[in-house]
Amino acid sequence: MLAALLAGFLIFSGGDGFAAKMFGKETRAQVRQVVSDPERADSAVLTLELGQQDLEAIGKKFATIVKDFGEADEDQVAGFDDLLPYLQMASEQRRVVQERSLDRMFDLRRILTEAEWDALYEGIREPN
Amino acid sequence: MRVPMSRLPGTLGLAAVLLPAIVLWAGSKDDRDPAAELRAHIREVVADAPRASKMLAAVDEIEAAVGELDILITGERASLRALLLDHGSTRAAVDASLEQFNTRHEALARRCLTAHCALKAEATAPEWKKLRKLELELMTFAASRSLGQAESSGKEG
Repeated sequence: MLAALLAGFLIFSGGDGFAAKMFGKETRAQVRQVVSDPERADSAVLTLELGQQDLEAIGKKFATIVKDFGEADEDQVAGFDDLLPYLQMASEQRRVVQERSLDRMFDLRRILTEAEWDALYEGIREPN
Repeated sequence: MRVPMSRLPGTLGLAAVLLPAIVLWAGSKDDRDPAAELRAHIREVVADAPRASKMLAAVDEIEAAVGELDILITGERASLRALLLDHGSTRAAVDASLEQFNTRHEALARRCLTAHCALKAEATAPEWKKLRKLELELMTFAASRSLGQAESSGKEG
């Protein structure tokens, strides 16, 4: 759960786990309601599942970076130059997860009709 | 929202590495103001006025950067939403939007990290021992909200 939240955070930076929701169980259930064609629904659900797996894998990497950062930061002497590499690694991971998640989102958009995509997206909208 | 102390180091790491996390405390409905608490403790713990002043400036800098991050994130959310709901939008357009966001995001994260390090560097070891937990709480508070672990406002994103 935390890995998914972290990954959601990485993608949309504080977006209340938007990506985690996008690829989460609720969205997959919603696909079944929104998409009447079983074949396309299966394909869409598979895409969401793959997105979830991506998030979890990258979330684990990010958690490692966070842990390493925390350990380095324990030392009061550790300064900007010591800690910057962790920030850079985390930023790199954020870019990776953004790219992979967008790959999945665009795959999903190709599978769904415009009306289905709109319905699904509305269901996972972020609060303003 | 309370985060177990055992999770604080990791969460501080999260916050200090990326730090946009701190963002949402500014718009929080929670009554707590961890930044104010940290300032109050700096005034209480650090007797040396010039150093205390530098440390308070570091907290101000974190708050300022957080405010900018908040605006940045809000803008990017709206931009991505519009792009993703536009059936004619291209992947290149989304990538370009995110690239611009990432560049600004990373610059603000560096500012936050710089301020965090400045705060740490100004403190003596005994002072830092007393202040560290509060800074952790400040970071954790915001990171948790940003991660969606805080109390829900009733709408989920």
